[in-house]
Amino acid sequence: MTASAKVLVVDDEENLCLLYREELESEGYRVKTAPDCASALRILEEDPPDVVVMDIRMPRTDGIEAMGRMLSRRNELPVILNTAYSSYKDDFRSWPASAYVIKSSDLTELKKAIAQVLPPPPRQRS
Amino acid sequence: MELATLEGFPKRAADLAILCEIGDVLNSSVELDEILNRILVGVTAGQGLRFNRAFLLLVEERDRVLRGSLSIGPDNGEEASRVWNDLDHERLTLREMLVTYSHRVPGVGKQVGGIVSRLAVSLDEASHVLVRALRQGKARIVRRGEDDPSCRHVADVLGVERFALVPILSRSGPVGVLLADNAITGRAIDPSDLDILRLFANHAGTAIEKARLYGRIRQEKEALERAHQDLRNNQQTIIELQRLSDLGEMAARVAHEIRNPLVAIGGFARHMLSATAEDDLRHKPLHIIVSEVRKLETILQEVLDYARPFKLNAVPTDVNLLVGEVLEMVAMERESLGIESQAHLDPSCGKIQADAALLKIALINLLRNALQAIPRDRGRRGRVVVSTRNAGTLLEVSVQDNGAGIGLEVADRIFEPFFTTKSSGSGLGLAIVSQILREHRGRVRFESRPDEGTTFYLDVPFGKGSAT
Repeated sequence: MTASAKVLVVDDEENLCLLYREELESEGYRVKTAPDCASALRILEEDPPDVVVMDIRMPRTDGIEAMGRMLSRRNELPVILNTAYSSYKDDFRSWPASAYVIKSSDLTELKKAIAQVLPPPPRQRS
Repeated sequence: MELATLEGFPKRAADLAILCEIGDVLNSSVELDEILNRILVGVTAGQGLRFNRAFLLLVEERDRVLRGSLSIGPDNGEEASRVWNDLDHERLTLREMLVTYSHRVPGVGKQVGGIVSRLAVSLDEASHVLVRALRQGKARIVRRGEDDPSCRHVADVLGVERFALVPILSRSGPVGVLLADNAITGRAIDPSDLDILRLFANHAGTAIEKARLYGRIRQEKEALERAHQDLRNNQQTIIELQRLSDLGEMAARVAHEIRNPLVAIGGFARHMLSATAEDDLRHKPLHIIVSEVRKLETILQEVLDYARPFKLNAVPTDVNLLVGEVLEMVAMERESLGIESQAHLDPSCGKIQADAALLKIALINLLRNALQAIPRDRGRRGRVVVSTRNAGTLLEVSVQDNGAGIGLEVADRIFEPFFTTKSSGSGLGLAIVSQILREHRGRVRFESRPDEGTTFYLDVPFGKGSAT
């Protein structure tokens, strides 16, 4: 059995990081969180994730730029963008993302997107 | 000699009194047509200058021509005696006559009217007797037998041996000429008649100039008023747009700020709900939190989608497929309301050039509205029908409900941003739909009957490069 997949959540809202951790861990993923681009890049080096969930609106470096920096180091890394709008793709810099998900309290779409870019986690919740 | 002067004196005095009266009446009007009419009446009235007929030719600067424009007088003796008898009978004063009488007496002077329309002389014909009179500013009696062929020509057109010719001048230039004759009675035109006609023409020139100036001022004034009104309207629109754009910007900022806390509240509530048994006391409150947060998030989404700058990302899109996806997306909401759905999809629709994501938003908005328009606990089953139709140059997607219908009193406001008849909601749903269709160079329209339901139509042009 392979070790469970690692998800890196990048969001400047501490409470949201907590929420994502709770939900995703109960789905069987291992979860790391980062409040900004710099810490995300550090984690990328120290404990490489299998997928990144990226908030777009962040102070200093925004999520799209952070994604660019991460992909320049590991271009095969799947990144899921958490967008504010129901229609996306306006900003061509966001095109390299593997998926776009509207940020919502309902994490079903996000979990679907993660499952699509990853091999199924070893421990599914019943 | 002395005697002759004295003999002429009473007539002179009477003429001047007449002139004074006519001048007065001319001055009381600023309407050009009215003034021209009064001039001709004054020349021919029995209480006025007593000519049988009068013709007015006006300078038309644009075409550089002196053209006959008005005439007055009977065609023949018979007509003359009838009209003059009638007038005698009415016993009008000169003033009454000038103010009420028109040169257009029905059935009278048809031929005379024909004569005036045949009178037209180019202003460049410097030797023509009419043009000369205008240029030199001199009144004269013209005789048919003069050497000048133009004299004979005009006399022939008028059908007389002699006529009086008086230029009408104004400070801003020549206005026209006045011709007067005694074609019916054959009475001679003597120099004193010409004198008074000349003085009269002075009054006429002033009055005409005044009327024209007044007309120009009136035109300018109207143009200014129109411009002013336009400006006011534009200003109003700009203020309105500015207000909306400020409002939109603020709404977007607030929406962004509120979004994260909402995701946290709703997210944890969902998390707890999924770990709570249905018979647990906390189950219901958690469920309420979850569904209330969902409502708030929907509103936020609408505000954000409306306030963002649109950028169309048009690709060949299978609308039938899109309709299927959208119906799937609202299926849960629809079923919880006990509403059935149908899809009538035209297989000849093919693909249109469209932004699939935006079109989806438009359809979801229409579907949600449709579901909400159907009142619960009613006799008949609630139903929404989504149809597509290939209408030649455009594809028509319709969303039909059998709900309450849209009241006439709100029908023309439903596409306004922030307008809503619901107790909750941003009032942006249809504004977004209309904006999305505008971006596609299409449009949204609707038909509605109270208590029978509403159908919204999206007309999306197929666009270039789309495979049909």
